[in-house]
Amino acid sequence: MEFQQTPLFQLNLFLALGLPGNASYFRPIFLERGFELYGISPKIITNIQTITASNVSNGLIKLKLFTNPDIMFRSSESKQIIIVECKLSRFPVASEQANQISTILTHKGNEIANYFGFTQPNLWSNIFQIAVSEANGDQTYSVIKELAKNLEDINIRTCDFGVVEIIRKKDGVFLSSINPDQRSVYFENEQVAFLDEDDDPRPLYIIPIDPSIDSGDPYGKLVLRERIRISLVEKIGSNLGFEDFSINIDDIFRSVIPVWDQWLDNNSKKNLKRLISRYINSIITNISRLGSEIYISKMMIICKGNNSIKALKIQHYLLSKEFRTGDIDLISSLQPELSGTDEW
Amino acid sequence: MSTQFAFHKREDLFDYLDDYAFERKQEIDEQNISSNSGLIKSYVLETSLNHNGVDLLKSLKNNGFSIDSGENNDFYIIRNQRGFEGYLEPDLNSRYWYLHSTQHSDKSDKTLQRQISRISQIDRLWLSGDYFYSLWNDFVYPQSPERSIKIKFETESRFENFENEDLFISNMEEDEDEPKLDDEVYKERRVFLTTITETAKKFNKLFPELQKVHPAFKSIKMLRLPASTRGGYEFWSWGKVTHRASSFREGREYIISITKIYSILTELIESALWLKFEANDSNRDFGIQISGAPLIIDFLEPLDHITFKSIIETTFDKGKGPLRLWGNPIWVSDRKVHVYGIDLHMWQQIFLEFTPKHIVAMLPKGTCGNTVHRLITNVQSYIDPNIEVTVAGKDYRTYIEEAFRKMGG
Repeated sequence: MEFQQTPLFQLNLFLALGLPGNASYFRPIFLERGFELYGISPKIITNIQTITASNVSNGLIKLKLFTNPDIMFRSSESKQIIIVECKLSRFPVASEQANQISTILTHKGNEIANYFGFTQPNLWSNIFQIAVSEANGDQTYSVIKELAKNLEDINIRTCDFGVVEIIRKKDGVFLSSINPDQRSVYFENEQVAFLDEDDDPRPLYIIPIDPSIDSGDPYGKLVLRERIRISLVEKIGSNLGFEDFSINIDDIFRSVIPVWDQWLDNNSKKNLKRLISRYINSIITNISRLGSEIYISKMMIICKGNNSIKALKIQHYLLSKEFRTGDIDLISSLQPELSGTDEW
Repeated sequence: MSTQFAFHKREDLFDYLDDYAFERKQEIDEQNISSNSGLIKSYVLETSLNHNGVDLLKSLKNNGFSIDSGENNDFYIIRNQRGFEGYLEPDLNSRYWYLHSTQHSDKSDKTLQRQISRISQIDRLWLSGDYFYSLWNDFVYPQSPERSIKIKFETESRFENFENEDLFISNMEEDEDEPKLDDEVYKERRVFLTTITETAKKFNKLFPELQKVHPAFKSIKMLRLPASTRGGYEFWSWGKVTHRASSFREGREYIISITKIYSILTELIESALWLKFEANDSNRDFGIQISGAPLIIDFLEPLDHITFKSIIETTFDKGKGPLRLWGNPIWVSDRKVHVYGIDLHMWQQIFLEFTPKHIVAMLPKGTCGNTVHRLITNVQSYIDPNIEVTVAGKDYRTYIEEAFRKMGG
């Protein structure tokens, strides 16, 4: 499977770098620097004074009422926050992405700390990092510098910022900073994964899909397919010892996509829910043909009168090659919903 | 041998088993073991976190067992239609249960492995080589340096030079503890089976050196804990205990202690590894907090490509072999495989990365921590005993040591 860097890869890479581990998998470089992973997609409100100040730009700068940056790290010891946005490459100064970036630039550390309720908020500072693929760092940095200058010109102070390139070299994955303002997040060609030349740099994807980031990651789609499959297998398989059991289908959605409740895009959520529900329905139909009394009612899978013989038949079916390799093609079913950018 | 009379109180059952143990020990000493009776075997069962003790009994009933309870519901007699009979009692926390049987091991082992363990809410205790080593260092040797000990080592590179497909039965029938290998296959694959009986003091000098010289000595299959008088209790890596001493109650006490340490260890590991996604508030304004960490099993000598491929194909494409993992392997490259899969012991999710250099596992919240002990035990037994294991960046052995310390405190 050919590797191409995508924002979803970047997100999952930063998650791998932010969790405890060792360098034989991915080096926990953020922990080494004293930062813990705070969360993904935190909602940060833009304060009223900043919004008001931007109005003098006569529409040139359109700040958002809030942002949901991709990842946030924090160090309670040094009282620093790192906000990371995953972008593949540079973007135009006049674009929706630029508005998002401009808004994030206005979030100062003490304001974020105060908003979230951290202790001693006035002592906190914020560093905003944009992650890009190799050779896009300099131009991205130029764009951000221009955005920052536009804000400064209308008397809106910005936070410190920098760009970090994710580079795949022969012997691994490296992080390399472009003109950062803060030494604590300066990556001077830091090796974060030790690989052979042909090795693929992808970590296990903790987040298989996040429409706010990316819908075009082919590996992410494979992961999504398998996560749907195993969520169903787990829920049914682990209950086969019981005569009667029920499963909440919403729990399956949450198990598949950890950010399910976080999704703001209701249309996309509805589409994916419909596709997953259709798949679940077909599996339940197949199981019922084996002789089990199993059906779906009001978002619940209900199974009654199960015994050891019926349970064994269901187990055999769930473990079969037919089920495992999928008689429902989720990839192409999902393709129309996930391939376009307008949906998201 | 069927129970001749019913027990109403647990105390009466224990008295019976104590007498039984005493008689069997006499037979062992006289080298005159009756063919009609077996030694007492105890099996430590673990239920999944999502299902409590009441569910365990329901599951057993639903899978063909009859259950009679004692006076205070503090023990149960379970039977199946194939003549198995055993005595089941819950631990103080009903996550763990003890099943005692006086039947021959060919009946009791098979019932446990082929019937009880296949119930998705039930698994067994899995004692890794590191766990046994800590038990040796912290208890067996210091307590009984002059006593004779028995220790069994076993490892078999099941995935090397994989030629004979008949050896691997599907996931539904595999009996991983009783390999049915003929001589021809032994020539084609690395196997290490040895039993050492020696005084604890003498063996203690050799033990660390043996492990340095030959990593197969890290894969411990059985360790006998000496009894306070003669004989001892044999703890097997897959959760079975054979009583070869005159007191059932003493053996039971050992089992409870071992299980307690195991329980603490499992909870420490769950706390360190579980992938958790939590919203701090109902509006989810603060985003999703993520915590968790990977389990990393490093092979000190990378696997050759044939063995690596064999592990993936056997386990996932063919659904066979001892690991009992299930999922669709994603070949990210020809040397890296990702599986978002299921551990079939308790039908719980596990995310896996396989390379010739390591196995990485991530556990979604709710997946029992004994998945870790089981994976480590099976990797040492069937792939390569020469491994280093880190849990959330720390050596697995530090968690074992912490569990022993907490148990003592």
